[in-house]
Order: sequence, then structure tokens, then C-alpha cells
Amino acid sequence: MAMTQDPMSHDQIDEQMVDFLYGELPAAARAAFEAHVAGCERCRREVESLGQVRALARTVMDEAPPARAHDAILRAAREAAAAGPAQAAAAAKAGGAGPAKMGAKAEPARASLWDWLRGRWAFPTLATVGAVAVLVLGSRLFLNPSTVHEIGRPASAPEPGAGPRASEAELRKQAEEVARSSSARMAESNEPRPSAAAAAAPPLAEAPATGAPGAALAESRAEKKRSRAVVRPAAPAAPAAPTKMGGAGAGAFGSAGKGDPLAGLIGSTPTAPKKSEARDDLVEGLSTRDGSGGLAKDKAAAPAGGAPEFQDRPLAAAKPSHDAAPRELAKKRARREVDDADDEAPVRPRAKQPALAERSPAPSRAYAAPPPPAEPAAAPPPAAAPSPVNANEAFADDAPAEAAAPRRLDRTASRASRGGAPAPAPASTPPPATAMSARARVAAADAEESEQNQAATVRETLVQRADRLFTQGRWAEAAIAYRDLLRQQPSSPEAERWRRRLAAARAAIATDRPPPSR
Amino acid sequence: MSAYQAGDVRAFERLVARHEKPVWMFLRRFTRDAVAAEDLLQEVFLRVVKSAGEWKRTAKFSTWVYAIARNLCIDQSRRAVHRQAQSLDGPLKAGGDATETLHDRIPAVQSGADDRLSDRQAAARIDAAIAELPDDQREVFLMREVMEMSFAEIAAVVGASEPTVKSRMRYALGKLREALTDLRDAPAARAGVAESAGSG
Repeated sequence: MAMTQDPMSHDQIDEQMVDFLYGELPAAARAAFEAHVAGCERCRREVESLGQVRALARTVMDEAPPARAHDAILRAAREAAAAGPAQAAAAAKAGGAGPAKMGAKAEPARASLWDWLRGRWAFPTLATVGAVAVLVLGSRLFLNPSTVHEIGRPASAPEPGAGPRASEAELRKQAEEVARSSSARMAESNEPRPSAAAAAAPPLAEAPATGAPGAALAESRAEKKRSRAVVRPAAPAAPAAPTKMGGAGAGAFGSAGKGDPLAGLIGSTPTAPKKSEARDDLVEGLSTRDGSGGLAKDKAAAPAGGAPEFQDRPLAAAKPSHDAAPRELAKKRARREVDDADDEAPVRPRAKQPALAERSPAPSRAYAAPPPPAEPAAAPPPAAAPSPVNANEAFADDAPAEAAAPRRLDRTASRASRGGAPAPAPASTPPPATAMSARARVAAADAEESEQNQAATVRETLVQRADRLFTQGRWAEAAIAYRDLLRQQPSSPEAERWRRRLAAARAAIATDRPPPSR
Repeated sequence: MSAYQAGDVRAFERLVARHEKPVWMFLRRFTRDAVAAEDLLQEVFLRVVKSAGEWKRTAKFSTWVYAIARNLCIDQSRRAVHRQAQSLDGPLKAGGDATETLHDRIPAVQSGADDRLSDRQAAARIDAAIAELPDDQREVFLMREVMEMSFAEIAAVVGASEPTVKSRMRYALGKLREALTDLRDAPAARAGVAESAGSG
């Protein structure tokens, strides 16, 4: 009866399958379900297969809990009951890792410090507070101007090794100023302007040779030291002098040879080492500070092929001389002070003096001492050195005797301007402060006179040279010499003669034949 | 539970004896880790002790306890994601048979007995098939099979409708049937069919 009157479809059987399997189907529905399954092979196999799956699962899942877990549970329950609800909560906490969620509303009553630190908001907050604290402390420590100045003061304080380096810039500055003033004066003689390096390097070393107002004084000092050199061993200074003088600006001197009278001031003559020793502290100041001087020093010590090192080494080579022999420097300085006290005024205000003072371990003295008022007048001699030297350099090879003449004339002229005293060291030295201005005025006058004399000597020398070149038939050189003379002195009484000779020389150059009449 | 609330420790022992095994079976299959299941079992009843004062007579104790067990399982599975602890009974993940467990690789003490070996292999396959069920289907299956909760109770615990729970149960049974097709002819399965046909 059921097979033909089965009201249930397969979909309805599927919907009720779970309820049937687990006995949750109402009695009426269950009867209908069973009737359908009895007549339907497909639904019957479905019920059987699912029943087998349930049976298989139950055989595996039927498992008793471990006995130790049971004992632990009962023990914890007894302890909790004996201690009360609060301890029960603590025991529950200690019994295992407490999950956050559970069906009941039980939660830990109070979080520990660690839990509080592990909170989501705790770490960012603490990190922010720490960063702000570091920022505030850092700004207070490092951004406070007074603190920074206090910190920077010792760093900028003069150190024994930092003095020469600091004074080097000062020295260069002064040398450049002197070079500018000298080049302005030399413009009228149309001499080739020395380069900045040449102007910075040789001024003091060549100053005595150029007939500057301080030249005679330096020579007198040299003579004094020469006399002292009998007692004092001059061995270290003698070999050093030529190398120091062989710097950029002194190259012409080296090429002058023995016949060059200027070489006598440098070291070719037997008395030269002592003369140069008289200026060795000044020269040393240059050579150790200036690139060219240091280069010359290195060139003497370095092997052949060591030239590329020169540009890097001058300061490095100069430092050891200060560091290794501070006592020698102190002695030299003391001797120089004695000499300066004995010598004439222009010696002190020369541009080198501050540099020497800067080399001292206490450079603040040099910086604190204001330059003497006569310094501008006394400064030109060192800077004026390159141009005459360059002028002489052109004909040094041709006529050493002619070139020597003007320099000796310079010296005699400068001596004569001071009353002919070769070494005018007064027996009683006035106080330095008051004598300085008088000396400076005298030095200024000497400087002007010597410059005028020097210019006249140079012009005369150029005329002689031009005539000689013309006589020797060196037309090109003669033409250049006459042209220079005409440029310098276009209104000279001899200008007409120079023009004629210039034209004749040019004609000879053009025709490659001597002029008809010389 | 009311007796335990009144201070009767024996009443709690009776509660443990009654619900310990279903809870254990649920935890054991849900976590697929015997050690973790043991810890959770103690935790469940410690929570019961701790929260005994909050239980109300209107609530069914079994449902309350099973809800605690389920929530602990969910928390544990979340922590296990980070720990990546490997269970002896859990399926091996990288390489090898998906149904093979670490337990299977350990030589059996009595490996000579073929029937026991086949039983162990069948049990491992069934374990693996249950473990492969999706969580929502597995928890419904386990609640129904081992905890013997009604679909209405399961729906209340998992927070789903009763038809949804039944649907999940239907899908779970279908997947298990597919996974255990060759085992359904075993004597245990045949015996279970007659038993489960009318029991529920």
C-alpha cells in the first residue's frame, strides 16, 4: 500500500534524512519516511550508507579521557571549594592558559603588569613618550647656543699643532695684500706680474736682495748672526738654506750661477749660509707655511720622481719641524726678539713678524698684539721683491755684472738714506712701544726712496741692456727692450733714439740683415 | 550543579563523571591533538568550578559546559596557528599521504597482527576524514555524535539556525561517506547501521 500511495518525494526525503538518522523526526513523519525508504532503492541505499559512516565514526571516537586529567580536575575542584570562590578563580587561572572567550562570563578579575604592558595601546604610547623625551633632552643638550659655544670653545682653542695651520691663512692673507700693493706699484714699470703663489712664497726670502728698505737692516742682522755663528753651530741651517731658497720665486737665483751677485745673498758664496741663517727663521716661516717653500724643502729630501708628493706634503713636512724641535724654535724666537730689539724699527713690522708670532705655542699673543702703525709702509719690501727679481731674471744670464750693479746700488742708497750707517743699531734702545712709530716712519721714508732708486736703476739697466743687445745684433731682444723702454718712458730725452733703434731692429728682423747703420 | 553550588563537592564529581567523556571526545577530535585536548579538558572543568556561582538553574548544564569546551577549542586553534605545533595524531602536512599521521610512522609494538594493523589504519583514516571536515561542519558533527546534543542545542551554541545546523550535518556526513567508501563494508560499519537506523 505504501509503495503506490507514497506522498513523499526524494527532495523531502533528503530534507528529513538527518532528522531520521538522529531520531528527531516526529512519529508520523518517521512512518512516512520509513514507508518511502522501504519502497525506494535509492533512498534506502542513502540511509544505509550514512548509517555506516556514523557507525564507523563512533567506533573511532569512542574514547575515554586520561585518568590523570580526571584526577587533576577533581583535585582542583576540591581545592577551590575549600578556598572559596576567589581562590577558585586563582586556581582556574593557574590551571592553564585562560582563553578569552567562553560560554560563561568568567574573566580574570585583574590583569597583571605584563598584560598591561602587552596591551595594544601600551607600546605605542610608551614609544611616543620615549621619543618625545629624547627629543627634549637632545634639544636641551645640543641645540642650546650657550652650551654649543661652551663646547666649541675648547675645540677652537689654539693647540700646539694647530697654531701654524691657523697662522698660515693669516700669512697668506698678508702676503696677498702685500702682493697687490706691489703689483700696483710695478704696473708703471710694466713688469710681468707675479702669480699669487709666487707673490706669497718668496717675499721674505728675496726681500734683502731687492733693495727694499729692510734689506740693509736684514744684512746687518745677518752680519750679527754671522759673528754669532762662530760660536753657534750653523750646520743645520747651512744645508737647509739653499733648498729653502730654491722655491718658486727663487728659481732665478739658482740659475744665476756663481757669477750672479744675488747668489751671494742666497748661499753660493762662502758667507751665504750664514747670511741665509740670519733670515732662516723668516725663511723657515715661509717654507713651512707656504706651499712653494715646503715644496722646495721636500724636493731636497725626496728622491727623484717624488715630485707628485710635493703638493700634498708641504704642510705635513713643515709640521714636524715645529713639533720635533719646539725648543729650537723657542731659542730662535728668543734670539730674534733680542735681535729685533737691537735692530732698526722696520725689521719688526715686516709681514713676517706676525707669522712668526703665530708659530709660537701661544698664538693668542700674536693675535692680540695689534700690528704696528708702520706696518703698511714696511710691508711693501717683501712684496716688491718678485718684480725686480723678474726684471733682473730676464738678463741675468746675459750680463750678471750689469744685474748686480743695481742691487748693490740699492743697498748703498738705502744706507745713505739712513745716514750711511751700515748697521745702525743704536746702543741705547728706546722702549719698543715708542720707538716703533719712529722706526716705522723712518722705514716708510726708506721704502719710498729705495723704490725710486730702484726704478731708476731698473730703467738705466734696461737702456744699457737694450743698447748691448742692439750692439750684439740680437735684433729681436733689442726690439723688445727698446719697445719696453718706450712704453715706460715715452717722453724720455732718449726716446727718439730708442725709436730709431727699434725701427732698425725691426727692419733687421724683417730683412734678416743688419741695419745699414747701427 | 545546584548541589555543587550549595557546597556539595560530590555533586561536582558526578557532573565530571557524566560529561567528562563527551567533552573529551569532542576536544580530542576537534583539536586533533591529545595533549592539547587533555589540557583543555582540565580547563573546561576548572572554568566550571570558577564560574559555578554564575550558572543559573534555567540553563542546561550540558549545553553550558559544551559551550565552554567549544569556545576553548576555538581559542586553542587560534593559538595553534601561531605555534604550528605538530600533533602525533594530526595529518602530516608536507609530503606523503594526506591521511597519514605521525602516529602511523611510529612502529607499532605488535605490528605482526594484521587485524590490529588494519584497525589502526582504519581508525587513522576515519580520524583523518573527520579532521578534514570544515570547522563549522566538524563541530556540528562532533556535538551531535559525541556530545549527543540536539540540533536545537547545537544551533544555540554555535549561533546558527537549526536548518543551517542540519545542513552542515548533512554535508559532513556526505563528505565522510565519500572519504570512507571502502571502509563501509567493515563489520563494525555493518553493525553500526542496524544500531543507528533507529537510535539517533
